[in-house]
Formats: sequence, C-alpha cells, structure tokens
Amino acid sequence: MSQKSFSLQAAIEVESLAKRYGKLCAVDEVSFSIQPGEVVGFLGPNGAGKSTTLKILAGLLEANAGRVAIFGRSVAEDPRAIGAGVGFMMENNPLPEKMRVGEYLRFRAQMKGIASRELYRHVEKIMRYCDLYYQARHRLIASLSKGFRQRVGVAEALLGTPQVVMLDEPTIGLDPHQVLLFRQLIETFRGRYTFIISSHILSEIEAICDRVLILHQGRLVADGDVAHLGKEFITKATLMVKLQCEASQMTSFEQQYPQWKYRLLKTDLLTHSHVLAIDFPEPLEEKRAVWEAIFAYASWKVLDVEEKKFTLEDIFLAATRRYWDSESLKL
Amino acid sequence: MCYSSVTYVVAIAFLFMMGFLFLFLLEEYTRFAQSELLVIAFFKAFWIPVLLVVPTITSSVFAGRLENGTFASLRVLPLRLSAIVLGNWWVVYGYYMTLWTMALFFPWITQKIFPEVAQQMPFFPLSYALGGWSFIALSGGFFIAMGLFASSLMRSSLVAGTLTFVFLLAHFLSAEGLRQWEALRGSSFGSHFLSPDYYGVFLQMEDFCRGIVDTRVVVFYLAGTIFFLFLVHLMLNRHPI
Repeated sequence: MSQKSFSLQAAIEVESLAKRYGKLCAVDEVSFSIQPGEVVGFLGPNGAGKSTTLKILAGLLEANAGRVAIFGRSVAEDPRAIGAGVGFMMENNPLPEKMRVGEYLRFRAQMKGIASRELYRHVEKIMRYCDLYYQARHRLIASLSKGFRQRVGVAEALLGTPQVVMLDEPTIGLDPHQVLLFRQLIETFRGRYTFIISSHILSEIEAICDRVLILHQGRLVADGDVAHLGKEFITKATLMVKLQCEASQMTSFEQQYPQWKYRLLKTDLLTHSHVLAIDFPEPLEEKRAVWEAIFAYASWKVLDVEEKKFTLEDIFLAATRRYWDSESLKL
Repeated sequence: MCYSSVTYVVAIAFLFMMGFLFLFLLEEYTRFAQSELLVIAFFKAFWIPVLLVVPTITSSVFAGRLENGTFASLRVLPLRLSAIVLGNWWVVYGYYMTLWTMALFFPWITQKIFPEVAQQMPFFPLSYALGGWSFIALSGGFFIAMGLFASSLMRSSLVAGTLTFVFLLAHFLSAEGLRQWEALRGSSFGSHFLSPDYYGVFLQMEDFCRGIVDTRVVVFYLAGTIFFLFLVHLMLNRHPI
C-alpha cells in the first residue's frame, strides 16, 4: 500500500475496501475519507459490515482488498503502530470480569505506553470524564451494570492519546441520563479526537455526529451530513393536517386532488376530527399548492397544519430502500 | 492471573498436596530404611502435582479470553502477538515456579522443628534439591507451553484442560510404553530414534537430582518449549476475531 497516495490531512482514508468470509461479502468496495476532528456516525442494519469495517480500521482484521490508512500510515503495513493511535471500543464490549475498574484502566493505559509517573493521574482524569471515578473505580467489573460497563469501554478507548476513537454501539443499554452524559463526553472531546460511532440508535447519531456513513449489505450507500443526505434521499415532503369534517368529505378531497396521496392517521368520531398525512413531491411550488388547496377546500375546517421534518431514520430507510431498488433492477 | 481466585485456590491445594506428600514420605523414611534418598523420592512424585496443576493454570489463559472476547481487545493494544504469547507464558511459568519453590520450604521447616529427625539420615541435601528444582524449572516451561497450546486451540477452558491432562499423561507414560513395546517385540527399534532413557521423565528427574545433566534432555525441553510456543502463536494468529 502506498502511503503517498493518501492525503496527509485525512485522519482516515479508506479506498475500495473489501472483506469476504468465504462466499459472504461482508464489505464490498467501500471508500470514504474522514477529516481530523470530525465526529462521524456509522449506520447500517445488522450484518451491514459496520463492525467488520471498524475491526479492519483497528488492525484486528485483514482486508481482502483495498487500502486503509490512519493519518497517512497504512494499517495493513503496521497495525501495531496504528494501535497506539487508535482507541477502539468493540461491539459487546468484552471486559475482564475479575478486575476492578481502576486496575483494568491502569493496565490498559500501561499497555498503551502511558509512563508510570503519569499513569494514576491520567486514568483518574479519564474516569472523571466518564463519570466512573466516584461510583465505580473500586468496583469489580463483574458487578457493574450495563451502563457502567459501557462507560468503562468508552473510558478505555479514550486512554492514552488516541488520534482516532472508534466506538461500536457505545450507547446500547444506557439510560437517558447516561446517554446525555455520553453526548456531553463527545462534546468535550469534539475537535480534539476523530470519532467514528457505530450505532443503531439513529436519533443519537443525528444529535452527536457531524457526518453520517450508511452501510448496507457491505456497501456504502450514503455519505454526508444530515442536511445534505436529506436533499439527496428525501424526495417528498409530508404535511400533517388536523381538520374537522365528515369522513365522506375527505374522499371528495382525494377525488379533487388525486395527485397527492394522503393517509388517515387518526380519527376522533365524537368531534369528527381527523389527522391526515399528505405526501407530496419536494419542490417549493408543489408545497405552496398543497397548502393553498388544504385551506381553500371549503368542506372542512383546518385546525392545525405542520410540516413533518425528515429525520435520519427517513434518510436511512430511503438510502437502504434505494439500494434494494437498484439491486432488484440489476436482477 | 493475580485477579483470579483460581490462582489462590490452586496455590493452597498445591501446598497442601505437597505437604501431605512430604509428610507421608518422611513417615515412611523414619520407619524403614529406603534404597534412595528422600529428596529423590520427593521430586520423583512431581508428576502428581504437574498433572493436576498445569491443566488448571493454563486452560483458561487463552481459551477463556477467546470465549469472552477479551483476547480480541488485547489485540487492539499496540502489542505484538509474540509479546502476548511470551508474556502469558512467563506469568504462568513464574507462578508455577513460585509454587514449587514454596514447596521446598517443607524440608527446611521440618529441619527447624525436628532437628533430631534431620540428624538421623541424609535428610534433604541442598545439591540434590537444587538438581531436582532445576529439572522442575526446565520441564515446567515445556509443560506450560504444552498447556498454553491446548488453550489456544479452542474456546472451552474445560476441554483445553482435559487435553493438557492427556498430553501430559502421554508424555509421562510414553517412555514406559515404549520400553514395554520393545520388551514385547524383543527389538530395540525405538531406541534408535526415541530412546526411553532419553525422554523418560522419571529417569531424567533422578539424573538431575544426582547432578547428572544430559544436554540432550536440556535441548529436548528447551526445543519443545519453543516449538509449543510457536504453535500457540500460529493458532492465535489464525483465530477469527
């Protein structure tokens, strides 16, 4: 792997990465680049290849093809040297049950090359960041709750001076307070470290990450920030309309405006109020026409109109669906 | 290792076992005259603790970590696999030798408490004790490397422990088995390549106690240790993470 082919500024460069397990293609021609200080969300359904990609980035697995470099240094050529600059919390977060939290973190810090005189101070600092110092530092790992175990995993990844921190499902099993703490933790280190966070919790990724990578069946199907991906993948808007009318009058609205699909979400028979979701193509003129039609339609009384904002979930579903559609077209 | 309760339980069990063994031999030696020295008899019984202790202390070193995933997290650290293998071997070996060194305090304690017993016979000559301890040290590295190899083969500590037990038993009995086979066949086919005198552990132990150091034995155990550690490295490198 030629190191010259990578930009020196990029924290992570991945080019045409492929990994096969027998006949199964876990990662297929994945390419992306991450700049220093970026917080990137790594999304995908189960078996999409997220964990495999992260393991290759951490030097735990060898790729069948492609190039991976961290700050210009090839992972394949020198995985152990890369290991010093990478903090990695693995999926399922395996921890030695018989050690105490403080002992474990000091052991890992020592293995990461922290000098003995710095060891206690450094580990204490990280434990304070992760809210482990007062409640858990003397506890056996076996006795920790899921939330605390996750925090130990995150603390371990932050030990030393990692240039890149990769967290595989860090918020799984955390309660809302702990999730908030996790967000604050990422905010503390934002800009100092490059983060890759793999998660199934889309709202978390949306709240934390600057950018999102979506993997599906081993392929990268989306790459960009949420606004950019919204423009790329969300082709329709939805209006949530609360109105009051007889049910038959809604049918006549549909007959009058057959170009707009609407869905009845909720009906209150006592007050004759209904909540409709009207889908329409994104262009602005269309949106204006829908608004006008809703208000102009005399047979009902509009109580409330709200435009539904697209979320990362919508992008995720659209991106994966588009991939399915393109694959089925090929067949 | 020091974080596992097994370490302390094994240490206590080992010292109890060695203590009772020493007591039993001492009683026998004070009652009847014996053809060989107490120290040789004590060291020649080394196969009993080895068969019990080595599988217990080596079985979970890699198998346990492979099972619970902590081996993968160890691989994330900026350490070479060879350092991980050697580090683990060294820790287990150090522990094993500590146990044996502690067991050598039994004769010393007896000598302090019952000086009259020690005066009756050539009790526990230091030169013999050092010879026996040297063989324990030499063979111990090999046995532990063998145990670590079994541990690196699979994710089940129980199966790894059983496999180590079988390996050790085969090693202890193979020389005697070969000798029997030769006696039955009336030929010395095996002796050209695999002389029972060469790798029969009980004879080797006796020789070491008497101060006879056969370099072939030293080479056998050192080469065996390196060979098994190489196999451990190979196996761990091929384990899916």
